[in-house]
Amino acid sequence: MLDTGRSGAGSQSRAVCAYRSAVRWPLLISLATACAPLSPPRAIITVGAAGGPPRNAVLALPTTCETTESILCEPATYYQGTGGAAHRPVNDFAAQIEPIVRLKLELAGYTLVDARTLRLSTIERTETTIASQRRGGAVSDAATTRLGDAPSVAGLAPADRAAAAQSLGLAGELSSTLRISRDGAGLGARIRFALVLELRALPGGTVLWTARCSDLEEDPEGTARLVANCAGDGVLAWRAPDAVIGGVP
Amino acid sequence: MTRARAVAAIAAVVVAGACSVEKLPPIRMVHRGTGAPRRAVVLPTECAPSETATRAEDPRAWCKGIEAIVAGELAFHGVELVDLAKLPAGERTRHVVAVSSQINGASSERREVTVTGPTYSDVDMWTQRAALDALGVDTLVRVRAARLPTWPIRTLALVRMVRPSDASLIAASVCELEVSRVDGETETIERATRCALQGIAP
Repeated sequence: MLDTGRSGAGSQSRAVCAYRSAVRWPLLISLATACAPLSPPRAIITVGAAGGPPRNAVLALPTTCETTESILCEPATYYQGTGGAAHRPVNDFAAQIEPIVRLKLELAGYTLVDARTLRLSTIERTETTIASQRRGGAVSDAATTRLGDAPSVAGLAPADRAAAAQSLGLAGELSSTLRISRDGAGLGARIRFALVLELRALPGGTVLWTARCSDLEEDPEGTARLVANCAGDGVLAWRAPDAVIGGVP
Repeated sequence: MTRARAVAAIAAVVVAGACSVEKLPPIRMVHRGTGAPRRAVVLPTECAPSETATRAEDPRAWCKGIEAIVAGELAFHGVELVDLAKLPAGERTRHVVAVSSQINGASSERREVTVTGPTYSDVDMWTQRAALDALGVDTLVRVRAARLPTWPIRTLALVRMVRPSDASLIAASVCELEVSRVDGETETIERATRCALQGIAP
């Protein structure tokens, strides 16, 4: 703090300096922290007794969300009253998590087959094209495609699912679970997102490895992406350390 | 006052410019397996939903052009592409309704064509597997893309080619771009995909 030394004006100058310092320091600290990356969450990998499987095709199950308060699994809950809900079209966290996790695991050498895309029966397709011309005017075309519905491997019971996966030569089954909990007691407690990836061998269901990463919720969709990236990077660093971009060679 | 405004304007330009600068050049990594693609199926791109799409918009619209970029690049290098959604899996029915009318000397025409029946993209998984063999498809191509919530933001695109029979790797290429918040999602994902494709061009 500066002291001008001028009698009479000293206390006023000190007050101004104190005010300026109070304004400047938080500003400087804010700028400094804005430029510094936050410490990222860390993934914990647990390898089963059977170890990792050969890099092969595995069945990827849809991401599920587990919590003691069901509303916490709905992204819209976090935006109520903030005015941000209009810009949040995603209605479940799986859409945020799966693309990132699957990208990282395929980079690590696994080939993932989405259980929802494996149909158990053929669906019907109806393609309609309508061309019309009125009173010698321009021809207008409109085309629509309607697809039927069919059950997929994702909807099967575990034993049937395993049998279906094996019939296609898939060697494992990847599950992905987002667990949302409160970090402490009471409604004011902060919310924690934890993503658990688990790969089981087929047949038998032996756990080959588990990857877990958790972080406190800052922005729900951003945190979902963050833990997905973290868990995926954990598997990547373990299975294919050479594929970690920016990693130490 | 004018000087202060000028300084503020310059500062704003500098900050905006700093935000739009790409921090690092693209980083590409390529893994090569065995063989080369000859006849391929490009699977639908899987990408994270857009962060900026509103409820009225398709959150995955930003990555819909990616398959066309990949298909174009592979075709340019001589890879034959098979579109399962355009190959009928069996006999299909075609129903045509044509209506012509004339009112007060002005004519109108309407023609409605309805085709019903599955293509190879609609069949059950076992039939599809058999169809890939029957069609001589030796490569499945998958593109995955996402914007990572790191600091600074990164866009990642992975192009991976495997054999349908045993999922063995033919080639995989990933490209990571460090981008700023002012860069458009579509633009950065296209750049990342083109960058990844350069690594696995047959």
